[in-house]
This record gives sequence, C-alpha cells and structure tokens, in this order.
Amino acid sequence: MTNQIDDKDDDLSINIVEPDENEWRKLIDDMKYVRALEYVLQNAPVRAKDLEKKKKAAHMALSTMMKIKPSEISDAINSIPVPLRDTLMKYVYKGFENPKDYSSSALLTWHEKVLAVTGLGSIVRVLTDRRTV
Amino acid sequence: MTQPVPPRTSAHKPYLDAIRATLQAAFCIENFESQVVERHNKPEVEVKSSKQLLLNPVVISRNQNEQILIEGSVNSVRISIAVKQADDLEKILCKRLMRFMMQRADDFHILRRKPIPGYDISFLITNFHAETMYKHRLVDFIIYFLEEIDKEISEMKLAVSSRARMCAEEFLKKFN
Repeated sequence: MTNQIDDKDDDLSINIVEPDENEWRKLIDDMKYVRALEYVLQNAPVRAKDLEKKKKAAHMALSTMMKIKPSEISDAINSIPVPLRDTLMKYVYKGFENPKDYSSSALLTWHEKVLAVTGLGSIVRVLTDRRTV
Repeated sequence: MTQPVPPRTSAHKPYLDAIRATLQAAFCIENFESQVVERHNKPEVEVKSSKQLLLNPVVISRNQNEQILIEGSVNSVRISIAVKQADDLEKILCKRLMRFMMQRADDFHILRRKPIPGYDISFLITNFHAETMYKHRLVDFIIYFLEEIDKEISEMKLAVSSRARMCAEEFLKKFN
C-alpha cells in the first residue's frame, strides 16, 4: 500500500528528495503547469528535516498552483496520480498559512476540488501524517 | 431534535465548506486518560504532554485578516478564530463582544476563557462535550457562529453610528 510509512526510508543520506529548481523552471517556461505541479509533488521533501528545503519546495508548488486557471483545476487534479493527491492537499493547507503571498480564494477553490476527488480521507491524512510538507 | 440551524447562502461558502470538512475530519476524539498523572483526564491539545497524541495544526484563511486555526489531538480540538476588523470601531466592538462571551465561558461549555495569541476567540471541545452533544451539531454551531459574528459586528457598528448621529442632533439643537 502506498501510504504505509517505511521507517527505513527516513535515513536522510539515501533519501535526499527535492524538486530541482531548474527542471521546474523549464516546465513553467514551457507553460506545462500541470506537469510542473506533478514534478514538484513527486519530489516533495516530505521526509526532510530542513525547513529551508521545505519552504523552497512549497514556494514552487504553490506558485504553480496559482498559475493554473480555476477552470482547469479539475482536469489538473484528475491527471495527478492518486498517491500524490494527499501531498497536493498538504500544500493547499500550507498555502493558507501565508494569505499574503498566495490568493486564499484560489486556494479555497483548490481545496474544494481536491476534496471532491479524494474525500475527507485526504484531510485526515494531512492532520495525522508525520511527513509534513 | 432542537430547532435546525437555518441554512444560509453567503458569498463565503467555499470558506465555510472548507472549514466544515476540516472540522469533520478533526473531530475524531475519544476518551484518553492522562499518561503522566494517574486518575487525571486532561485535554491533550492544551497540555501537550506527548507529541504522539497531537495532530498537525491546520490554518484556513479567507484573506489576510480572517483566519481560523484548528488544532486537534486524541481527546480534544481547539478552534481559534481571527475575526475581520476593518477599522478601529470594529476592533473595539469585536473585543468587547468576545470578552462578554469569554467571561461567561463556564455556561458556554465549549468556549475557552482566553483566546490563543494572534486570534480573537477560541473554542475548546473535548471528548466529554462530544459525548453529550452531537458532533455534527457542534460543527454546525461553529459554522453558524462564524456567519453570525460578522453580521452582529456590522449591526452593532450601524447602531453605534445612528445613536451617535441622534445624540449629536439633539445636542446641536440647543445652539440653533
């Protein structure tokens, strides 16, 4: 099951997962926003202890989400693979903590659409998962 | 059952829906005796005796001034609300209204006497409250509270300005 926590993976030396800024920027410049979002979610530093890494990745994820138009959000969510949708929800809540930088109304739309697809389970996983974003 | 909460459609429906969903997820609370002191039963979200008993705190914001912080734990949930205060008069009215309610927190049951710093009012809901009251009704109540607070403060603001206008008229009639 994809959501099982494997503690052996917590060894940081073999698990340096982080979205590469240049790779991400290339996808953004090509206007492939959904692909860029998927790339960031795939490589989200959920197991890292370094706050700087998490902040950078959050900035990448959230600015991508802000670029996707409200009408395209549903399609974007449907094209993101199921295990990554929880990470997406985690980033939605992360964005709420910073209403100055990220539009809360857009985030509320994202929240609604992700919830429609994943159900209450994704919120429960945001609240309980130790692998915070 | 007691009277139903009247459904209201407002422009802030996505905000309230997000809060309702998050509260429904956070409200899985059950009895949990204190692991530190025998025969004691404390709300873990206040005591924070062990990291394993706490959920990740979560914020939902409508804009920069209005936010709600939801902290959960195994046997309690703490909900802190930052109310919109656009100008000085609203700040004073909000502070007074919240203080009025918080002084009567004992009768309110789920209210906390002091708000969490950074917020205007806080609720503390424990498993004992969830045992005597329906969980879905508690969630309904919080949403209703959020809708009504804004309305009450704007009503009070109107009342203050109309009273001030009448007083000024009466006073200045003397000089006519």
